[in-house]
Amino acid sequence: MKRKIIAGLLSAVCIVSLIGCGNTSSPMGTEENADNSTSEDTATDETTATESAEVSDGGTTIQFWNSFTGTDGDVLREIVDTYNKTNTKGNTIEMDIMPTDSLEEKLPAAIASKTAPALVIKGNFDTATYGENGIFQSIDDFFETTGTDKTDFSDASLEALQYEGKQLMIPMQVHSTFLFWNKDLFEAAGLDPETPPATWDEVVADAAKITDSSKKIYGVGFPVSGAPCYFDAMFKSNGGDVVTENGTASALDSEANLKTLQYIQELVSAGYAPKGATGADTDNLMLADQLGIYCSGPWLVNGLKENEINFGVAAMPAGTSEAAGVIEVQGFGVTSTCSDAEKAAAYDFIAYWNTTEVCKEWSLRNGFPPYLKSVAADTEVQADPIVSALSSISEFGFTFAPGVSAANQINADVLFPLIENISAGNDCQTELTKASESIDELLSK
Amino acid sequence: MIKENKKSEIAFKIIKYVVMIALFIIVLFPLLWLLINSFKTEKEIIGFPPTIIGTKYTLKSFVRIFSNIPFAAYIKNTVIFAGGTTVIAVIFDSMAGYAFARLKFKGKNALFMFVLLTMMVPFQVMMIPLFLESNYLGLLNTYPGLILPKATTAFGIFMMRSYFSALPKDLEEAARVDGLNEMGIFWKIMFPLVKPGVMTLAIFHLMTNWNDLLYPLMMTSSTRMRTLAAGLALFVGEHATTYYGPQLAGALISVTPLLVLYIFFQKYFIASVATSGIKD
Amino acid sequence: MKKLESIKRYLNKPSRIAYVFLAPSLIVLLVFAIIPLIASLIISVMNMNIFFTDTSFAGISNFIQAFQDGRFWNALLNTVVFVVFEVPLQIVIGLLVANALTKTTVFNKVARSIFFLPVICSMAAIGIVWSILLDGNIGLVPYLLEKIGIPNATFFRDVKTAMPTVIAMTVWKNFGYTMSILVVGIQGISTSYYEAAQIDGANKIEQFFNITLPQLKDTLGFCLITNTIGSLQVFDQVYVTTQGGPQYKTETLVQYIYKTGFSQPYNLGYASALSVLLLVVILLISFSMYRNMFMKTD
Repeated sequence: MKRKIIAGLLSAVCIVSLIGCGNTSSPMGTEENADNSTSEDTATDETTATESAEVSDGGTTIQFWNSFTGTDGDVLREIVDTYNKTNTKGNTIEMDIMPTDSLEEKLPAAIASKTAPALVIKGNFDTATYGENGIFQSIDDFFETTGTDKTDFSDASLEALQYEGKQLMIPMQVHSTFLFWNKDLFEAAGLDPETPPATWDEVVADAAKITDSSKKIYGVGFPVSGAPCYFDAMFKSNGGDVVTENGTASALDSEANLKTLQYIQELVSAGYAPKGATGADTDNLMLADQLGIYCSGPWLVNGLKENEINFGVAAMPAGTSEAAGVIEVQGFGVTSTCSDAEKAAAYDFIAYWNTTEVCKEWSLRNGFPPYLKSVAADTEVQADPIVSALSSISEFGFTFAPGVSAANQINADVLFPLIENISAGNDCQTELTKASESIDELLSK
Repeated sequence: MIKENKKSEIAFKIIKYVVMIALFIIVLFPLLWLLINSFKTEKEIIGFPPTIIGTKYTLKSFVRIFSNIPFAAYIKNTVIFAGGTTVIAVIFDSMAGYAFARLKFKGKNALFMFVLLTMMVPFQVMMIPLFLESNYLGLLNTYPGLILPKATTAFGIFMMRSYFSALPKDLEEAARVDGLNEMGIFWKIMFPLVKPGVMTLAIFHLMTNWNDLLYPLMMTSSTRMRTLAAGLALFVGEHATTYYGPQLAGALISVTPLLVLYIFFQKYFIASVATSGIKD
Repeated sequence: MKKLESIKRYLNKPSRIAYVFLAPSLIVLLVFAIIPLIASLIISVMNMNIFFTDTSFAGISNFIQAFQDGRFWNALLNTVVFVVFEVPLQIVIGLLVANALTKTTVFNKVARSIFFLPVICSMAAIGIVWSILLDGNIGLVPYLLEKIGIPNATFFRDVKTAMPTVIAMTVWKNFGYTMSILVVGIQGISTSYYEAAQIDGANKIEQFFNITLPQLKDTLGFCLITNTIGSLQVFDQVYVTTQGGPQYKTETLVQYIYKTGFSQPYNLGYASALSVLLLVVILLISFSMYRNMFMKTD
């Protein structure tokens, strides 16, 4: 009797695993296609759905992940929709926007289970990690395959996205942090609405006047997480740095950086900056007419326009040293587990994006500085006050920790917590030493 | 003496109603606030000073949640996952509960201990191997992969066991005399008799799986396979979307189906919780 | 066909059909609970990441790492703090409300239905609502608090108030759950006890302490154990509101396990070791609680 039960159990397990294995051996990307073919049908008829998705009218459906959770995501969505309607190959891009953290959390699991999207947008900080782990494939053949003019790209934008000499991603946008200011709040505080602060000292003076705690109006914002790394630029503009030039050791624990941290701490403790606010919190303050000065990225532009905020954009303020801004390049990466058909569709969309027309639309509507020479030369782009302000990037931009594979982790796991801790009132020097040690530890790995 | 008691009883009554009405406000207000703010414009949601009743109402947040994330797919997935799991788990739990309650067989105690053991192990402890196993079996991002691991629970087996145990003795003997086979006895005689138990258990499974976060979060890497709770949680989080309106609209849509069911099946909702405390 | 019939006939005996009834559940539990549990123990002594690069035997090094890991102790402490405050609060509030609403009147019935509403809603939805309501800058609650003289309340964003806020939100959502269990428990107490007490002149408070509480002991013990085990696994409320911040002050064990395994550094081996430690903590606490309860009832 007992033996029979065990045999029964075993055979049942076998059946379960056989059903399972059947699925495993199905071609890569089956799931995505099955799910995407039509949004209404269920994934139960996977195989048929796959075939129809691959063959019907020659088009391919691919998944496209990115973190454009800001107001610029709406513009991106429109561009993707236009591509889906107009592309001659019948391709469909299914875009999924999720917070950076979620993307970082989900992508490796998706790669491991071979259900990853074909197309992903990541930044130049991620090239080392994504190249090393084999999440992205090298796309050196992109220009040849699609006939896209390589010489139209600025060299810096291409180089930032290379890994071990190979093109890992194709540029999608270039940006830095800029100083946004709310003209109405400046005026209400008796300041000249057309003169943004040019130095960090002026930021304090203006912030003090703008702040009105009874109305929850803050002078300036220093988010403690989920924001661009404005602090790297602050360190630099005050003569400090995060890692040594050769990228092997921490340069964080310096007098200059201590002053920068104390500066932030004083602004927070004086109530001129919201305490412990995240990037999204601070963005919302800016969008709600509650924040005077904010160093953030161009993705704010679309939202500020939509919420009818009377704002201006300028270069980052200068400190004891020259003004600085971290240049970040976002690029399209193609995942290593996608099929040839998916890769072709991904290439087609990347090529579509990098036409003068589409890049120009992106620049004009969101204020992103152009990286295609043909867009930069466009008269309409040059005439746009926001884009031209943002294009000053070429004068003060620098690349953060070039070639350091832990660059992203340094910002996310060390520097943001550092800002959070000192904003909460912890001792700046203690935190600085601690953070510096953590950076050394990351660099030694 | 008795008069004093009367007095203090009146005092208690007053305190009770005051406290209860305060609690009403604390419990109901956030839910009503959710309802109102889902229809407010973004500008009014984040505007300062905050308002309770807005001035302009719009469906824009709802439009946004459907266009920003594959929200329609989340709804479909949640219905299939929670619904499918509920149907299957109720059947499996009832069958096992029936066997433990009414049938004599070898190894009953050992098998019962086995079920007991699985009840002691929290899901979090086995979530990583479960993820790897599902990946290996090719079940990740599929409906069977979501449903199968949840297709039975030790709790459900216990619950159905106690419902079946409470039925009068010799029921099945009479049926056997009438010539009904064992399957027939279960399906035609016993199962219909524990209908309240089945309803209660169904609500229990539906509620747990509909609202479950960690499990679907882990078992779905493809965005199109996510459930409402997991999809919403990934849509917000700390490093979140700038817009609050769509988050609220999504939250409202995700809680509505269960709230509607609650209106009709309130008894079973409360029983699904309460029986767990009593029957043991 | 004939064979199937004979199998059917063979199985048509209570002692045999039982296995057929049990098979689906037992297979599911075996494949999706027991095997993963054993695998968890194995993976916990391995070096393994989500990409399966460099998988190797690690011995107990993952556990040694855990004991030296400040974030693990921090997460354990946070989890314990959560349990120590959330569980008693939920039970006490649930008990007081249940005691007030036991009688079957229209008002009580409506009240019980309303208090159960948050139990039905997902933590994801509840977290969204409270995050915005309690937002330090644009939230309604800090605004109202400021009006009555308590300025600058930032709830989830402040080191000191983040954990209490998570606890309060959980109690808000779950007290209706405990209340429902206890209402049934109190209704099950024979009315003759109260009648006798009334004749003796005992007032409501005395009745509560002398009759209700002792009679409810088993139900309360059940609530205590299940709530404690559930609270040790706290994850959802943190994931949707604070993500463990600020300064890791709300990072719980499960949150840390999830982060270790499923985001940077994708270390499945270490995450499994942490989950085995969680299992040990849960087993220790629940066994000692069971034992204490048995000793009291004896």
